[in-house]
Amino acid sequence: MAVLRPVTRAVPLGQLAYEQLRDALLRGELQRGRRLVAGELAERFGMSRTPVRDALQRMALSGVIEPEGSGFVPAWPTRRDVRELFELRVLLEGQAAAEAARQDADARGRLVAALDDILHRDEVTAAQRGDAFHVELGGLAGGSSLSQAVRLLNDRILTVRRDLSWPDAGRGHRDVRDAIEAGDSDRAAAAMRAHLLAGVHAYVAEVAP
Amino acid sequence: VTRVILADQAYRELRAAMVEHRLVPGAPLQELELAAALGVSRTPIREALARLHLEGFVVREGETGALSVAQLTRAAVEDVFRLRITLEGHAARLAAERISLEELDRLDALVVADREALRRGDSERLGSINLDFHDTILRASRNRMMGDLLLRLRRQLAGFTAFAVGEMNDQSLFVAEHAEMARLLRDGEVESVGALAERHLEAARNVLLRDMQTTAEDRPPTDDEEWDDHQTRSRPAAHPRGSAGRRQRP
Repeated sequence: MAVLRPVTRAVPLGQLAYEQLRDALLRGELQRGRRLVAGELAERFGMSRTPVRDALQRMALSGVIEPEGSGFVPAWPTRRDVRELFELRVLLEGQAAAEAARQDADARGRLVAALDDILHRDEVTAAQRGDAFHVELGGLAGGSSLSQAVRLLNDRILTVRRDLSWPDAGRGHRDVRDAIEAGDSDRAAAAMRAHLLAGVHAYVAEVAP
Repeated sequence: VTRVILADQAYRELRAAMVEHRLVPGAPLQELELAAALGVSRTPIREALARLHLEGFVVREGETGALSVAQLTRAAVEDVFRLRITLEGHAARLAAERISLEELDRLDALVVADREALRRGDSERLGSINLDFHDTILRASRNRMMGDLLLRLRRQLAGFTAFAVGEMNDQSLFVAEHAEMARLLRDGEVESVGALAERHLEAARNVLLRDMQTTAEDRPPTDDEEWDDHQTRSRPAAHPRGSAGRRQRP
């Protein structure tokens, strides 16, 4: 039966729970102040509590959620947090975009194909596309400190990302993608920085002072 | 509360074991086995491992999710320093625009203390002044997230290994560069201080890499030095090499 997947998983359950939780936060399904309890989330994700607890621990460590009582609540960045986060995103993601553009043609081709796949997903929200785009680009150096840092910075704005993708975000993503395809590292870095600097205003206007 | 304390104790013990090479790089880490060894349940072990994984002490095998002790390789040092150089360079540039007068005075006082410690050959003191100096610049960048990221990176390196074991002339250079950074920050020289901070970190990386090379054969793998943002400790007696001014890392 081709529809059945093998029982042994390529992705550990804890990782799966983490991704599901991340997605729920991105889709805005876990509202501000909403208590996150392992038992309830386990039921929702259709898995046992242990991997969900692991995922909650990991998220708390990276500051995406914070402990409250015996559970957790989504952490909500302030304006100051957003400004600080974007200051670093401009620095590090600009560098990541430049490095992506410096790769050889084959590697660039694979990355551009992956980015196109993300940009053309229409069953997801703009926030999910934006997050996937930035994490994919930051993760190209697989497991490097830079990719971990990019992931961490993007995690911190998960709760406010939602549909806050500003009108020009799509164009910004395409500009970065085009510069990478052309192998122009200066242009890729500049396009990424311009895109993020445009974004910081949209975020700052949205979050509490 | 007890659960948190147990997890914290498990974290400390496991981290110390890795730093002291009682748990060697590459060693598999199994929850049940560790729980039995530490006399606690699996939950605190799991929490401790999650924290160590996040800090880079522990790596996860992609396919199976199995955990093991991280290896320190030249590539890892280069990788961590590449990001540290970017971040500390940027922190210095931001600090040049945002630093307060009190912080500038603090840096000047640290430079005086630096010279005094160098004259006395007090490596331990140099190490703690060094952390204080860099943390002051970090705070002056007025970006808390930057501090957060850098702390993770420093821990990552600290957990892996024996450290930058600078010789006397390395230390003089580091101290002279601290003095120059303090001056450039006071003058608000954004670009110059950023570039100097980057060179300063590159020099530290090179000392660390040189040390890895020269000690790979002649040093037993039992180094238990450790630093985090508050302390530097060392065990000079157990060290096979000379002990003039050493153990300074920017």
